[in-house]
Amino acid sequence: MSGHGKKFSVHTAGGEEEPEFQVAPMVDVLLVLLMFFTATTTTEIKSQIADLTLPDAQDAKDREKGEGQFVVNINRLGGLEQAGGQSGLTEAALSQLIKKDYESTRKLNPNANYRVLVRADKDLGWEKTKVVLKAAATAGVANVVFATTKGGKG
Amino acid sequence: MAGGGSSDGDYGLQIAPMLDVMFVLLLFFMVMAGKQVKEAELGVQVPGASKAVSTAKTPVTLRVGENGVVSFNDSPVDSRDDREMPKLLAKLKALVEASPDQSVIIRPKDSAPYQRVIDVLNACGAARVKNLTFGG
Repeated sequence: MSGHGKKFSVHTAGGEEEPEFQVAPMVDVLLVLLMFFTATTTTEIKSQIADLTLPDAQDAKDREKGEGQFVVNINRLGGLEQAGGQSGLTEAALSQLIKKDYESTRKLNPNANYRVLVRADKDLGWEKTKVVLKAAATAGVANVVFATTKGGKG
Repeated sequence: MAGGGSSDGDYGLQIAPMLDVMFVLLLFFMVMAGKQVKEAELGVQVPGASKAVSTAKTPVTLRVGENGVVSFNDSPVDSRDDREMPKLLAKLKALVEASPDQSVIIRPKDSAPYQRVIDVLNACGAARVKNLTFGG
């Protein structure tokens, strides 16, 4: 919606020369703000799916969008799942999935900085994360990153 | 904000109710956006798959026990409730200052709390440790 010259005015008792309140430009601005906040909220919610609470780290870096990345969620029950994919994975199955994805990424871009992103629940023990590290090492991926939250509780 | 409309019977666009709804929606999404927690990351190289050349210097070993106690070369540092880990951070900073290529190995026990391992990783990141890896 944009202003098409139609004016909605609020007249005060002062007479014809009083400044008018322009509703159409205000509606334009409001719509833009609304679209902005709607879009950002939806994106953030999408990235925080899975039944887990991330650990907090104040000095963590901002999240990068790598050329190739395999996201593993470890939910609060300790279950391993590929983000947007299979759940209840074993170490061997996870390793196979990472390897397959790594190879297909390298075919497209041999210089891709491929990485495995671990999103584990903060109340878990280290054991499950160790399984993911082993699976990544078996698949030949050296670069592993841990998802955290920054500046708040997860 | 209410009212508006025409008195001569035609169905014009009612701006005032639309504005009311838009303000409510805008407020809702602004509050929701303010509550969002930003997702960040801490990186590490996994041994075995890494092509990094081992350094001649003796690596520092950081152990994380099952109760969250962190040891720096087998001597405990910081209390387990101390999330910031100032003593560990100071030690790591001094090490990196003396030798920027100093390698650090984190060896958490299987039952070590994940949050505590992340605290150690966070301290290593803050101290700008370059050669960081995990051991069994």
